[in-house]
Amino acid sequence: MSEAEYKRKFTFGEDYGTSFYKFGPITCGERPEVIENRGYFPDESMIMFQVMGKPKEVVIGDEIAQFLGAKEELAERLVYPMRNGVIEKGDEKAWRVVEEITRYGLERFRPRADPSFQGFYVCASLSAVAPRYMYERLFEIHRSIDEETGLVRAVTIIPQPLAVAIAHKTPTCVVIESGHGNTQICPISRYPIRRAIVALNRGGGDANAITSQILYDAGYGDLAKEETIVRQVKEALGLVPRNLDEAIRVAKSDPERFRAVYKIPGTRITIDLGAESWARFLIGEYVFNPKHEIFQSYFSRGMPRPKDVKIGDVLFRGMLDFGEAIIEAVEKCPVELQPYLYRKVLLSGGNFQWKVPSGLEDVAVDSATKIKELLREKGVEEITVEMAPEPKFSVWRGCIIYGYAVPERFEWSWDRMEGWMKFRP
Amino acid sequence: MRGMGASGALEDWFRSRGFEPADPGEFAGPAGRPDMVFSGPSGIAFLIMADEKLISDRNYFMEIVMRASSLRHACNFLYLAVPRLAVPFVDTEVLRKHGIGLLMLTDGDVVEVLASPYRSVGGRGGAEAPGAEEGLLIEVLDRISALEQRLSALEREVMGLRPLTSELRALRGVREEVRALSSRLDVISRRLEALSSKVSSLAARPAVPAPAQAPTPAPPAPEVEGLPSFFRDNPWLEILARRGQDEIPA
Repeated sequence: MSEAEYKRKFTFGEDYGTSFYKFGPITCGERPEVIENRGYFPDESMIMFQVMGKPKEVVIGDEIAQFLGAKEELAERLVYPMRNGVIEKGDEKAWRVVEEITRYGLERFRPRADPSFQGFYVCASLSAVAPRYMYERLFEIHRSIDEETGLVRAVTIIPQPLAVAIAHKTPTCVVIESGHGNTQICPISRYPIRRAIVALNRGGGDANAITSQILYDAGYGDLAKEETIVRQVKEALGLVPRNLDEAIRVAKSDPERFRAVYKIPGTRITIDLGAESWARFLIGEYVFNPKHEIFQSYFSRGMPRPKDVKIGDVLFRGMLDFGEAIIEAVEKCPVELQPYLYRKVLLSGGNFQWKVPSGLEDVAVDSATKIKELLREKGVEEITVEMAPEPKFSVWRGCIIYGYAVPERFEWSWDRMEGWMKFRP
Repeated sequence: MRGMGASGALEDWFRSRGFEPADPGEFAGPAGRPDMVFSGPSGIAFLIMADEKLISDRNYFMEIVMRASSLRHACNFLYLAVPRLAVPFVDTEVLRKHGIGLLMLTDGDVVEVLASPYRSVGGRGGAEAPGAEEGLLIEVLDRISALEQRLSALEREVMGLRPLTSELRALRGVREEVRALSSRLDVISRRLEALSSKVSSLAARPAVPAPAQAPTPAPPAPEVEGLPSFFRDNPWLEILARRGQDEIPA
């Protein structure tokens, strides 16, 4: 069987996202399997385990629901390894979860009756800012799984923005991947341009923070503490303004048109921001540009300002607006390449899913338009910004194409950070 | 059920709780004698055995209960052993009222459906008032007995759930197989369609004389027929196929 024929059946994609692990072989078709990227470490002293026998060290997937106990305990025992896109070197619990999830994914698709199977060509994907030790550890995890199960013929790891660009058939572009905790801006020109990557310490979680503050100010202090409710309110009421000052002026002059009312499903509770409904524009603006002066009053009242933080070897910037961040990334690339990069900016990730309600199109915009506005303000013209369709699966799709197309003879090189790592002779 | 298998299993069950078999003849009295007797540090246990006749004959059950009740004062624990098939026909309320426990015999195994409460030997249905200490002891023992009953109920629940777990696991396996087969079928079906259209176009083409010299073949385009839609018209396929040849990443 030729390499291409073999890979038609046994190429395997793995996307280690902040919240979900998307995985599966090429034969899954358009969509992979998805489980939450998290693991639970049960308390072995629980009486239940003395009766039923010792539990697994780490529990993943649907089984977790059987173990969830008190809220206080959850924070300690429920581990989301990729919450920040980067796992600390010594965070053994997080690595145990990654190992268990990877083993689960590969075992789930083990071919039962195919004598030609000699292991998958696995293409895994990590955050663009993942340091080298994460690559080393992930290779090690696959090597150890292969030793136990024979499921891995070769493995490679690519950055998530490269996978997004591949899935969207765009060889030259800037990919902005924005998740719950952070945002990565990565220029691509057939290869990811690693030295130009800009990372922001800002994501969907920050929009939740300002939504919580707005709820508190509107008299819903009790609900402002409930993370799930805050997220629902953000998704239902949050708006991205074309221009924040203008949007607030219009909303204050015609409050009824912008009135924000949300009934929490399954309850009798209705949230009505009333005269404060103009504040719904702050939710979207804060994600794209937290530097607007209006946010100073929130910071002075105790809302944490997004800070510059260093995770691993990477500096995540707090207050840079999205326009500045794109420009900074592009300007680290050769001048000749820059116009081509601006011509295709791809937005990917759950933090760009903002809707424009009917009747508010004069002041509210979608994420692509907002990015264009931010870049235009800074003098960048001739820009095309697109939302990746089905952003949830684009990284996995990119992994499948990469794994299928890159020839086996291209061996892993730490200089290039590309190629196939093989553990067998 | 009265064979050696059931007796052996019952002996094992009592042994696991610290009792040893004793001779029923030694405990015979005016009310008759139990079928099996066990003695241990916590007292004397009598066992009455019933068979499948329970299913068809209600009087048989009443006879058994009366026989057991008449022996109750002579032992600390009293159990009725019943084959699994007949258990649904046993009225446990009646047994509980008379202080009789129930053991279910199933495939060489014994399950305690209802625990026997402790009664002091010589007392008749509480006619003799126990001393204060003895009363306390009986209360504690009754509580333990109630706890044992709850534990056996839990054991039964767990036993009932076990077969379901294996069924669930089997179903999950089947689902995976179906999914894999369905994906393979999709791929085969797409390739078949592609081949079929190629054959039709070849059949429709008029015959031409073979060229004197074959033209230089173009580099083979990556075969994407039968692959998911995101492979179609994807310029990356060619770029990635050249990886490792001549390019250096930025």
